[in-house]
Amino acid sequence: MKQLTSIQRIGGWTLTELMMAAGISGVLVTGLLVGAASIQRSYFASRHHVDSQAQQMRMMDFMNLDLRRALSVTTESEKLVVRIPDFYGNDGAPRDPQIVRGQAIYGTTPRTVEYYREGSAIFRKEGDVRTELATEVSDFKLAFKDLGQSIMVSVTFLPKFQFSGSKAESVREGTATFSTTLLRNKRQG
Amino acid sequence: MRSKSNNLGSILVMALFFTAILAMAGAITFGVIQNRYRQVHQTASWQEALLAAEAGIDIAVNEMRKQLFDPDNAWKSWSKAADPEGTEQITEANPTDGEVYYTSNVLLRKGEGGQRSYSKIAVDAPPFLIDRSGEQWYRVRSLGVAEVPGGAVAAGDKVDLRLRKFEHRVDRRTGEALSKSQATRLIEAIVKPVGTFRVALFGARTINLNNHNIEVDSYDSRDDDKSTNGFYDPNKRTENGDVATNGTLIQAGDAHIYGDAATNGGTVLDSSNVTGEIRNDFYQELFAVNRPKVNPDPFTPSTIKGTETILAKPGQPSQYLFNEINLSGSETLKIEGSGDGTPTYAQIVVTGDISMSGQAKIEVGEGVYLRIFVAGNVDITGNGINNPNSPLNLQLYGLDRPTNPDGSPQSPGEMKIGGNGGFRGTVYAPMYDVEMVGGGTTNPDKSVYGAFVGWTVRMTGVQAVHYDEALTDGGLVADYKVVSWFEDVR
Repeated sequence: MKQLTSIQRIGGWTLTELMMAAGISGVLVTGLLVGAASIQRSYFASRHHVDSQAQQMRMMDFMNLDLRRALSVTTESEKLVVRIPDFYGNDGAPRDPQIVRGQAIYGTTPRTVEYYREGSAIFRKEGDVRTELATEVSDFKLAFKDLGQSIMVSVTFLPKFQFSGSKAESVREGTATFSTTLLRNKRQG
Repeated sequence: MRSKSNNLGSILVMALFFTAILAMAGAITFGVIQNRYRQVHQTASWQEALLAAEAGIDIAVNEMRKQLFDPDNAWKSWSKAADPEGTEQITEANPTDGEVYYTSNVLLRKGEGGQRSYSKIAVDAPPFLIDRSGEQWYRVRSLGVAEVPGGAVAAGDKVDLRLRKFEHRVDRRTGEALSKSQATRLIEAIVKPVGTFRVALFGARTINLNNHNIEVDSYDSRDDDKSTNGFYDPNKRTENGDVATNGTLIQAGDAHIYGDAATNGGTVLDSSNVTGEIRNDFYQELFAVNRPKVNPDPFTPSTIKGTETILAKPGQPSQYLFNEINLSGSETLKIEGSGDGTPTYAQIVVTGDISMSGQAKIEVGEGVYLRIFVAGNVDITGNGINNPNSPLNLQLYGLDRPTNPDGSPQSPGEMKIGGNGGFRGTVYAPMYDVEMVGGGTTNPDKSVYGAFVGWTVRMTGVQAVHYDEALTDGGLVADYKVVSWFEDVR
């Protein structure tokens, strides 16, 4: 009898106890799932932010490299056209410059480098060679400002987490990167 | 008891399982963060390498400037060997003797990126970089090197690494083994000498244009769009007829200045007809004009006091040393060239005064390049100097004079440029009061073509000054300037 009583005490779950346990477990699991989903969203948003910043940095560095050595620059809304010296010969080695009208000239015709967006990607095109600098950048915005002897470039993107989602421009301000590059060859003359 | 043991085991397994998941998530996150962290530092090092390379260009240009202002110390610690270990010091040579090399001191810093950077510089002066006036340009190749922290691991995407090249074990340019990772960037710059005539009118202390009918404009004898047959064309004039002073005052006199008017923190008075900028940030270094060492050619006169003909010759200039030049009546000093207009050269040093009056004149032959250095005063009236060539062919220099502690001349010389025939030439006399006496703006034969530098510059009467932009490449070398800049990304 003692054994029987003991067994009954161990295995004796009432319906109320089971329902309460199930309810508490449900709340905990729901919280866990919601929390996990939030962490995941946060992780991907952070990842997007970091990747976007890396792409920003890459585009800036590419553009600044060409702008520094530019002979002339033209800017449109989201297109940058840079003309650089024809520094390399057909064998890929640097040419010797020649003095023409008081300036040092490499080759005969300057090379043209373009930066532009096509679809959701941003490209650098030098001659016929096109390089994809950034992909999935539909939320990126490029802007150029010609300051005469220097060019200002800004790149912004829309972050995944937005506290004021309806005001995209104000959100962009938080992700804006600016760079002002002195056109070294503008000092010619 | 068995049943209880099984339950405890499940909990342990579950705990390990969830711990493993958390550890994996942490490890992935850490991996991503570390990669980006490393990329930030490597990118910073890559940027520092550019700063080091540009610093190398500055170091090289500084040596070129030493050639002008401190020639005894120019290129002193440079080597003829590219390997910094094999330091073969040269003390009296420059890049015209062959390529020279220098490795800068190591710059130490704290912060993102590497903490050590330096530049390796090579300078040469090849024959194809000699301009039409015979001046040597220089090619500078500066390699900026910055150490990369964080181990020999490349961070970033493929496109990043195509842009930012890092060397972890082997120097990609020399093939040498490396003990530390590094970022390198190579810049090739072309540096050209800058002449003394960078603006149309330059008064070290003041400029005074006292007539609103005066015109100062520019043309470019090198460019058919800005000149006709190399000569000034009023229909093609450009607006680089700048006037400038190291002092604080330009009296523009409402003159028509087709260019900028610039002071050193001062004021431009009566500037209503200045088409360019009014600036107050101007300063130009002046250098003393020392008397050249002249060994007069045999059988040449020692003074000019009447009609005389002297010769200019190809190659090295003819040398003349005169006590004075004093012409009156219809006396003429003729500097004769080859006759067919091919370039010939002559250099005259006058230890006393130059004065001309009546119908006297100095005639410069076609193709003659003439430099006159004068120690005394100059009064060029009469029929003036007839130079049928470019303004650069006639260069008149006022020799240095004793100065006060503030650099001003104790007793400025007097240089008066006038004459019935206008003037086509250049004047560099920072220790002189230069006065230009006009003969009207409408007659191109009575205009002034060239550039003028004086302690003070004053224009009297109505006249026009047409500045030839080609003068920036001529005259004595006063400075060096980077005119081409290219980053070699190989």
